[in-house]
Amino acid sequence: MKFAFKALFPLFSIVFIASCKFGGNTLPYMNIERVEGADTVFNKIPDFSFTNQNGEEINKQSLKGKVYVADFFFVSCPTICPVMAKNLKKVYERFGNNDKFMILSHTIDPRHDSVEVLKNYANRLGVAAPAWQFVTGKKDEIYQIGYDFYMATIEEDDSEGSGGYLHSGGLILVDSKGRIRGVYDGTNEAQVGQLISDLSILLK
Amino acid sequence: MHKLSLLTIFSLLLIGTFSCKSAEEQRAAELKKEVLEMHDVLMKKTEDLVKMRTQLAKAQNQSKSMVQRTAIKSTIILINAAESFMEDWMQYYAQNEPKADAEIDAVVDFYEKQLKELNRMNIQMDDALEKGKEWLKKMNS
Repeated sequence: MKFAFKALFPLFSIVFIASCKFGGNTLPYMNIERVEGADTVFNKIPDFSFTNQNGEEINKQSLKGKVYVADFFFVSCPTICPVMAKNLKKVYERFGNNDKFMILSHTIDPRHDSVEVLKNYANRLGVAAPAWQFVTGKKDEIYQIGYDFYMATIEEDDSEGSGGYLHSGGLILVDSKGRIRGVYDGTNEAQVGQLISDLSILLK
Repeated sequence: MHKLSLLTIFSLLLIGTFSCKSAEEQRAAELKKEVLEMHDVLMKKTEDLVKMRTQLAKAQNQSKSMVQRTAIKSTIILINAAESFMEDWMQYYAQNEPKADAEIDAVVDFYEKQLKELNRMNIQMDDALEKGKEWLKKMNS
């Protein structure tokens, strides 16, 4: 997965630097669909229905009013996912008690990552819902939501060894109104540190 | 003199043993790197397969020819098989990756086998992607 990291690093860096430049209390808005006069129209998350590690349904309503971090992973991942999980746990430990906060981790191997497998994975990590939701569902729907919403702000890296678009280590920060406010490399400690700072702004 | 020769032979044997072990360890590390790099290549192709399946499923629904629909369905089956191959391999790898204290010969053997398996998977994926592309081209022309 080092290849994916290398390939996408410039993209993450631009977003990362852009987030730093905005600084203060203003984070960028990254999913602007169009501007109509004085109104800005944002690309909205499509309807979805997934199941979390407790067997509960997670849908668009579950995200209402939440500031959350979305990512894509799979339990048997031998490369970036363990590093991402370790870094995300720092985020969970910092904000896990805030009921407006959530981490939404989508498995990209739903055939193997059943509710039970996800539950065991969460237990091994020492984390729990509702602050950290591990969700499974139909594979094509998980990929679709990744392409159409979460990763739509990142230019796709088509190089052969990139490791894939969804499996790139990206962490997507979404505010309480469903607007994407940052994209970070989940394998990079400095960028995860920036994510924590940006979350502090959005959760104030 | 005799004692000195024995000591020299013993030392050379010792050095030989350690340098062999070191070479084997290096080989294992290189093979592991190759396996993980190949895994990344195939992860990207898996995403391409998922995208292609969505496009093919749409084409299948839109086609009025039963022959075409059946042929597209066969290609989707190939895609599903290639995708399952990858998912199953990842499970196997996660559950069987050699532990730190494993015999070095067994470690080298494991990674060599995985590399062969991934190369086989690569061919299967390329075949499914090629057939999918052909159908999409036909449907869009």
